[in-house]
Amino acid sequence: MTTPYVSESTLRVRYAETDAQGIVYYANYFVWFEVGRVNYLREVGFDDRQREREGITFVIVEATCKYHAPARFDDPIRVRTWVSEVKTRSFRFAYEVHNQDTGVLLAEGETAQVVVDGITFKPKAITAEFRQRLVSQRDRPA
Amino acid sequence: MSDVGTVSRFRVRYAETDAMGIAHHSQYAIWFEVGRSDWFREKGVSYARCETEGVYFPVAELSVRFSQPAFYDSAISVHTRLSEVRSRSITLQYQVCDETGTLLATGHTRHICVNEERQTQTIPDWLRKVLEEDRKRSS
Repeated sequence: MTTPYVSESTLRVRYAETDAQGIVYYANYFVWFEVGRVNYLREVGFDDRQREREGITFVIVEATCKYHAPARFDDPIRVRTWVSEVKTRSFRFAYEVHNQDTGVLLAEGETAQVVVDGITFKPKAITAEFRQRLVSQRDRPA
Repeated sequence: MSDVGTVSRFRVRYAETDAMGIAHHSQYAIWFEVGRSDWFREKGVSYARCETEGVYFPVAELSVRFSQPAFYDSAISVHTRLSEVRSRSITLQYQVCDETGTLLATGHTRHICVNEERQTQTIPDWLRKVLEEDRKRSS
């Protein structure tokens, strides 16, 4: 059993992300998942330029979130992101959102992505190189 | 879905699109809220009124499956219906279509009934009657 590489992103809740209840509006967690996802990909060497060079992109086909506790303005947030599944043409990210100070789990979720051609948007197989990056086991960069 | 429930109509705003030229996936959660608000209002109990009565329905769970992208200025319709009523929670289901009737996304939200102190509470009778009436009609 190997443990997957987990990327950790930190951010602070912006006032614009809160709603009339004084807590973060639920749609914003998908944006935080994106922060985690993009950081994960950058950390394993797959930035946007690399993506363009390889002529691949991916589209989100499913997104889920379970909300456990609210986040408030200026709370320090930690998003943990890892790859939970890699199939022939699709892969899944899993996320956990914590309050960085208290460690309380605020939300957890998943997104499923299908890899598509950058121009035709037709699904295509995940390349060996991209797969290798997705299942990367390396330690977090210092 | 046998019952289409409430239909909400609007156009995709430029602010909702991203670098891929399509509505960002997070926007669907906001569209679901549009559908949900219209659904409550159409049942004769606006969500704003629920809150003034001390009844809140924070989202406990959100799920969306995306089948086709939505483009700027597309005429979107969100079909919302109540799919489950429990003593302390409700679940709503959504279908998002464009002007051609193409299904773009489906999803659901599950909501816990809480009071002003965010403590879980049983859905009050006056509201339960409205919700169950709708369930009866749609079954």
